[in-house]
Amino acid sequence: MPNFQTMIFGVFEAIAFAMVVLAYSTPIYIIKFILAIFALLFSVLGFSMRYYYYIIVPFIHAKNKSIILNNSEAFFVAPNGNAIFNEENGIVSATVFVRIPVYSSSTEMSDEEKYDFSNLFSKIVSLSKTPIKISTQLRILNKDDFINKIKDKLNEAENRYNEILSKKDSKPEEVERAKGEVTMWHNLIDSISKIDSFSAISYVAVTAKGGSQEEAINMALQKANEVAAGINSTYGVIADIITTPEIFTLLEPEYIIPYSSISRQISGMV
Amino acid sequence: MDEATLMYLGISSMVILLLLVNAGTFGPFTILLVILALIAIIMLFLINYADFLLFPLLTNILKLNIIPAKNYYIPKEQNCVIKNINGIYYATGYLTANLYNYVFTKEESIDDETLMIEAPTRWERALMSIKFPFKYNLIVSSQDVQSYREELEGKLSLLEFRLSKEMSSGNPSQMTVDDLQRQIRVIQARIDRLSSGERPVQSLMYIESTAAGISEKAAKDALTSQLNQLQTIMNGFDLNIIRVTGRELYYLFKFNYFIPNSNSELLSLFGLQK
Repeated sequence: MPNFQTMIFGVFEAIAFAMVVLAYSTPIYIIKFILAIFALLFSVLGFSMRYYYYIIVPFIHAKNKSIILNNSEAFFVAPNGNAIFNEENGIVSATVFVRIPVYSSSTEMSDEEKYDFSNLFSKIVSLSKTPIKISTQLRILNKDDFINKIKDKLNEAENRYNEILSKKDSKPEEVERAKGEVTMWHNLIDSISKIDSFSAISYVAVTAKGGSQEEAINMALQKANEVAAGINSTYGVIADIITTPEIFTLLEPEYIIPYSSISRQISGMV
Repeated sequence: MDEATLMYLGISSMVILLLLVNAGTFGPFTILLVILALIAIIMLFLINYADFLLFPLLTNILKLNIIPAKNYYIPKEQNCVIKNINGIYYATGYLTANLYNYVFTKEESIDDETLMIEAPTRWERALMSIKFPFKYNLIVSSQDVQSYREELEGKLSLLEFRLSKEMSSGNPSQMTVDDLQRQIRVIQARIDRLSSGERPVQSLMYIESTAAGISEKAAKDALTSQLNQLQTIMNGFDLNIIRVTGRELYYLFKFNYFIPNSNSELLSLFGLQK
């Protein structure tokens, strides 16, 4: 149990008991009653520290209707880009993410293979005696680079088409072919830009704590390597540690939903 | 209820009981004091079992936002975490995914094979029908097989003793006998699963989804729509899906980056379903 939680609970309950003692020692009914109300209030407040101890000090310092629990970044990236870390109350926590590179579909599996696959997953689930987080994430793909490449292809095709049109001795089939290529790239851009494409990833997150950044990151990497070895032996694949910039796609909402897909939504609304 | 909560409840209740026991010495305020003491007891149980209703109510009335990290805030409704970047609002919400109690009281493991064969197909179908960003999370740790087995065998012995005592009594109640036999089958099924190689695990399952909008309200509305769709899709998986509000939302936000290091830390934050 965190010491601060016990301390703040102790303080509130001590005040409550003190109020009870004072209430019994005073002969004036109205003062007894007021002291009893305070005793009840501090007793309930004390119990609420079981779950809300972390909020009591920020609540007292709240400004502009905002309770600030943490004013710093949610995480920092390790120098090697293979972990994230943050410090709270002198303890550094570090998390490493291990990819589970399994790319098979149940549509390709027989009943026996499906049963084995489910069995293997239950082995992954019971891999570690300390908590690990197994996640499957679906995010929107950022297709900007891909669309720009298609646009470059379209421009090249249009230039070729214009060149062929400007030649006097162009054969009709050459013109048709060039026109068809331009139409093909146009249709591709239209179909890709119209809807969102998704990417799915499964991974395991492991966290370790230490007195310093290096200690926490090394311990997290050690745990991650153990988990990766477990995944490798269970699924017969090569699990790897996720590094930057891909790590941001697991953590930051602006990477999970790229700005380009939102601007498409907005232009659709307008 | 875990030991820490029991201790907190015990000490807090002592104050209230001390006042109730001598309520008669408060003269004309006796009845009022008794009513307030009973309200305090109800508050203790509400904080323990329904703080997900109380805390958002309090923040709604006081119009308080909570800032869990830079650029993020939890609005007064306490039902999502919002990030505002470049004028775009990203709202992330969470759903619990608790197994129904009847899953824990299965008497035979025959159906397990069918479920395991169907599981990959059902999961893929669910994933294909979801057309927005979402994340399925399972925080899990395995338990010691031997100690768990000993616990089960202890319970089994006790139940068998109670059954033999009931059977050998002069007038055995058929309802009691049936109930004891059912409980024995449930425990035996769990022991059989351990014998077949399964390991006991403690797990926390939850689903999160993110929506974006050009205003806070647009993002929150899009998120609510997405979470409602997820509830519909995931309902076919024997899961009790409820939207997370209040302090648990803050912890799940933190779990996105750092998960608890030990089982005891995880258990201190959430209730245990067995």
